[in-house]
Amino acid sequence: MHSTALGEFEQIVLLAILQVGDEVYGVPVIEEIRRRTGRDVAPGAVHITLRRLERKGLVTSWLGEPTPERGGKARRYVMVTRAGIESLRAARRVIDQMWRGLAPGLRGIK
Amino acid sequence: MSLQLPPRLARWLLERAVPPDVREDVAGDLTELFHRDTSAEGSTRARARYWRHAISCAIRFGAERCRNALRAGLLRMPWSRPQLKAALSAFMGWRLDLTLAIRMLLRYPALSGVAVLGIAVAIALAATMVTIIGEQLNPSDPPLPEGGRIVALQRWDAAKHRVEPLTLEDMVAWREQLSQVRNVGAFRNVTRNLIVPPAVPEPVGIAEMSAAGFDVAGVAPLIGRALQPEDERASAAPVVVIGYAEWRRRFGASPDVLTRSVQLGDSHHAVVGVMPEGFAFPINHTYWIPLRREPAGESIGLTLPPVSVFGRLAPGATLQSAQEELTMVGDRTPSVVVRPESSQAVRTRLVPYARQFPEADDPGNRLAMQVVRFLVAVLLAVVSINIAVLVYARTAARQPEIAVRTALGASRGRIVTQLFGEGLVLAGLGSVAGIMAAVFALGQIHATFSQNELMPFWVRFDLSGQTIATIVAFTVAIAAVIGAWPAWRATDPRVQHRLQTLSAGGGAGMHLGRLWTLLILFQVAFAVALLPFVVVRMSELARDGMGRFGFEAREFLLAQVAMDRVPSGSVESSNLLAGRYRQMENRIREIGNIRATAFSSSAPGFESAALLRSDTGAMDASVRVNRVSPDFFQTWGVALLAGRDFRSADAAPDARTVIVNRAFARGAANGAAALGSHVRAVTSEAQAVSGLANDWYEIVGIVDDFPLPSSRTLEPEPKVYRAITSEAEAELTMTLRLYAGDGEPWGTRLRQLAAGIDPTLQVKNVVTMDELLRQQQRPARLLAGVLAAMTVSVLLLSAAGIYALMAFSVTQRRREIGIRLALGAGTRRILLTIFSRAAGQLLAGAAAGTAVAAILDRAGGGLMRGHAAIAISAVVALLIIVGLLAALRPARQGLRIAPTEALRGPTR
Repeated sequence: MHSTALGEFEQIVLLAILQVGDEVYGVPVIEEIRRRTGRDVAPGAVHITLRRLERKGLVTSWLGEPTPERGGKARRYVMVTRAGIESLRAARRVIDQMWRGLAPGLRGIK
Repeated sequence: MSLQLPPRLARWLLERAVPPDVREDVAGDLTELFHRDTSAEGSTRARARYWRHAISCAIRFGAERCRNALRAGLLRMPWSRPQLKAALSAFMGWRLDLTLAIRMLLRYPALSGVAVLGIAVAIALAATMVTIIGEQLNPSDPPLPEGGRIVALQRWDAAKHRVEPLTLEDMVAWREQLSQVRNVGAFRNVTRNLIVPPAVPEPVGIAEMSAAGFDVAGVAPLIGRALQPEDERASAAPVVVIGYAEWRRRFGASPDVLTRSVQLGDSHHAVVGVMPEGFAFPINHTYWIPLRREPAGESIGLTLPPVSVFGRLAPGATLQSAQEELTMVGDRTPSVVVRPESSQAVRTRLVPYARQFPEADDPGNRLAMQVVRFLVAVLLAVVSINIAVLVYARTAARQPEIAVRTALGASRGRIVTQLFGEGLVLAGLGSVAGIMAAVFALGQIHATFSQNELMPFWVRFDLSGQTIATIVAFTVAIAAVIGAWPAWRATDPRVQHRLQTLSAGGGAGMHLGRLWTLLILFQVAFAVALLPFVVVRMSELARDGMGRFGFEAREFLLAQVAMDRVPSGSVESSNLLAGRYRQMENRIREIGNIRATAFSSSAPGFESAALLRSDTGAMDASVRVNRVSPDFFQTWGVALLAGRDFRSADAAPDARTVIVNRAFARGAANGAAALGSHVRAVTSEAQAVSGLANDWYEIVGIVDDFPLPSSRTLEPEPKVYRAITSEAEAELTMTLRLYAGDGEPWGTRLRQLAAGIDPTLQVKNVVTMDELLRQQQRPARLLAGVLAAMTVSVLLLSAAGIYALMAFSVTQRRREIGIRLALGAGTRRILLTIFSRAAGQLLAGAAAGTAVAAILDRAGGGLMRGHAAIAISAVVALLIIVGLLAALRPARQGLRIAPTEALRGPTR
């Protein structure tokens, strides 16, 4: 399958969806990224990325039930598609290739 | 528990910035994060973070939209290479102008800041006032199909300028006889407890409406059906139609809602339909139940609340033809209800639906609004003048630079365009800030009014397209006045020539002549004439808006309790009401740790005023009257000063006793011994408001004043208290005195408890005395803030105008000053020369302004409430100090001129 090139943040968002597992929507993704990277990520950035990933066919989404703590608004659940997984794998392969052959001391590069 | 809402303006921003396909989930996620932040870090931080997220979303989605549009536009347009190049170079030219303009703004930050602030405040005030006045004078039609043809039918007392009550009989008579108006129907507002387990019972406003209402509105239900005439029959099963928001909130937008029923008070209503989003006809409703003909005799008289009647103009009918027909029919069918105090001038009338509220037609209101409109126009003119002076002076100071650019080959058009661009950026920034402030202010005003559930759904307070277009035109006009015109003058070939020949003088070409001096003088006079009134009003509002109680108001919890249907005064129904309230009091004492409870007809400080007469010979006076339970004063900790407290005998319907407060005893009783004297309600209206019978009442006790801030003044107001009679009130305020630090969710508990006793027992507006006061003070604080912004901007602009004039004057006279210094003139004399112009203008302006303010104060019957001398002196002193301070820097610059430098040549 042809895989789509992914930006760094796109990879982070896709991986966060996979890490959260069930019932994934915007808020858990934001918190997962915050927890794992320590970055105070803007919700707008996550939503724009999710929208772009959906357009590329890398995630799929559907609307849930509205809830009072969301001001009567519904959640949009997301799930990584097969193409999304494929793109993540491809991105990982590229990075691994680039790391391969470097002296062990360089692994500690920041 | 009711969840706090994120900041309104930020939500508004989000609604507009985020594309519709993801709006719901983005808004939902941000709301969810807001609630988490609120519980983790408190409301202030959560609000700040929500704002940050909303702005970030707006920028990101806005940028994405621009990128997409640009990409799509470039792809779609048949650009040839030269065309693309030309467009690009034009864009780059403008970009250069824009960059230069921004650089120039940053080079003079104080001047730019003052100008932007001035424009922003003026635009914000003007846009807000114009929007509110426009909505009042010419309310927009309801947003319904052919909303302009929906009409309200009323009985109108032209002498007293009010709408008289109507009954179902009126509606039926009109429906049968009118041909020019179709679908005549009626509604009344009722409140019922909505009980949908497991949610906490909650009183909701309901429209009891004829089925014709849905035909008049012309909107079909989203699902199910609307009310039908058959539903109005007494034997029909109870049904309800619900609004979109309630459907989503309470039923999760489930289509199965049509199989469910809701309990409204003591009856179960089958849900038969859901109305689409935004539908709230007839006023602002989300629940509709059929308006039924009551059993004969019930609706005659005022035992049931009156109805409002509506209809739709028949095809081909006009307002005039329908009015003529209604007048004929109305004369044939006199009203069954005639209030004793109604005048003889009651006529039937037909008005467009949005104009049914009499306030819009009140001649006094209309005049006041025209005056406000005029003041807004004057304010805009003053702001424009000041900014023009400011920027003109700056442009004049830049003349050497302009001359050099001309010499290097810049065309006149190029320089004018560049300065126009600068003006446009300055005015544009001010306008954008002004629009944002206006949107915020209008949002706040709307939020304040919408606390009243009877705020019509068609009143939006949105900036109209016309207002925005006017602001854009005003922005371009300001840019032309402050940018293009001075540039045109500065690039005049004659001026350029003089500049070259008089190279030794500074700023030789342009003048701030007599016109500018007059403008500054006018502006100082305007400020002195207007600001004292503003300052007096602002200090009153600030005092009212910030006033606090002299006791721990958080310990007092207030709740309005009422029953669904007001019993018609029979002994049984009165006992029922009294019994229910007492039962509730007992249950509260059982379940909670309460210091005391009491009932009253109004919350202290929020009583209605009635015209009362005293037998001590004092003048009739407007006095606030409260009907209270015997334990009221004890609960509130109000000391009895003389006489006695209420006893159970005072609660008998024929008891004629009252207790008054210290302020009443001191003032309204005319200095005579109040105790033992008598009071009575003067008119039938006063009797209705106060609940006092047409009889004298003996004053049996005097209590201390409540330490309550009132609406106008902090002086205690005279008050009269009557014991609640066994003819219990339809609606009462219950006071719970809590122990300090009580964190119980009393709102929820009281509602559950009331519904447990009787499903028709409602508990509304549960707030602490502290919160109640804050809500009441919100408009005063808002207005005080607006007035403060206006005052500060006028002062700043005055200072900036004087500074600009002085700076320009010093620049022009550098050479003269230098020579005088060289010839040995003293510093003092030079300073005097420099200051004299500013001081002369300030004093002349202040004198003219003082005269106008004094005349206005006298003409308005003491608008400054006796503080005229202090207020005018303070404003004059402040303006002179600000003006002289503004002149200080240019004066010091003048003194620093080295004689040799002044003699040698041109200045910077």
